[in-house]
Amino acid sequence: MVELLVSLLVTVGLVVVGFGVGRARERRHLAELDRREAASPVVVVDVKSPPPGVDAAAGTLVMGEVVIAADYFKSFAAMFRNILGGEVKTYQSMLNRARREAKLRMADQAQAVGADLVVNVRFEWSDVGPRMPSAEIFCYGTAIVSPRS
Amino acid sequence: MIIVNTETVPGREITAFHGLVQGNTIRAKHVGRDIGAALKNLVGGELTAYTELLTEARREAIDRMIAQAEALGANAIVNVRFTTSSVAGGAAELYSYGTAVTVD
Repeated sequence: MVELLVSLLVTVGLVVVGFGVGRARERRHLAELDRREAASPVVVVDVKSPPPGVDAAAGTLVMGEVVIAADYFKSFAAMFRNILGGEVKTYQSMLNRARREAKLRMADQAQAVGADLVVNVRFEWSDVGPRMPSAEIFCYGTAIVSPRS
Repeated sequence: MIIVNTETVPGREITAFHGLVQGNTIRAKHVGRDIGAALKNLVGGELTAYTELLTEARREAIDRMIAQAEALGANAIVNVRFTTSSVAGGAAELYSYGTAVTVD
């Protein structure tokens, strides 16, 4: 009985810590993403080639990747969702964050080579990460360097 | 070596095709990374060690692809694609492939 109570308390404790700290960290990350996205001068599109009228002198592959882990609360909530069915909102926001982060890292790489446009962008999922709820996102595309730069 | 994932090299003309080139690498993660990751499982956030592992491994696969293209006398690789697949025991394969071409 005591053992059960202890394990229950530990689980509740972990969920509370995960919820509190995890949510604060997620908020900070989202605010950072908003700021960086607004500041990034690079246009990212997934059409196959630069639109007519864009002066393209050279192209080069750029990529960004990120592995993000879920906090304890997210995993716990998802576990319940698994029983009840329906949308797993906690993972939805995690995957979105990972995609935005990977895309930004790719855009930063494009900016570093003097490009202001990335075409043919693709998102990939990979499974190299740890055996825990996490999102592993890889984003790549071709950075277009215009002749004047 | 010009590497793009578009079908042509922007601003250049393809003069010859040399065929498919590919590079792969299979990585296993070591225990240390998983111990560090355990804490992140509680509070969430980026697993930097894993991001580095992926970046490093993908770079390796690309380098092997480039070496193949160089051996064929190509100066560019177009239409590059990436895939990953998991092999038994937590090891993962990163694979990149594309078409080796000569551009003017």
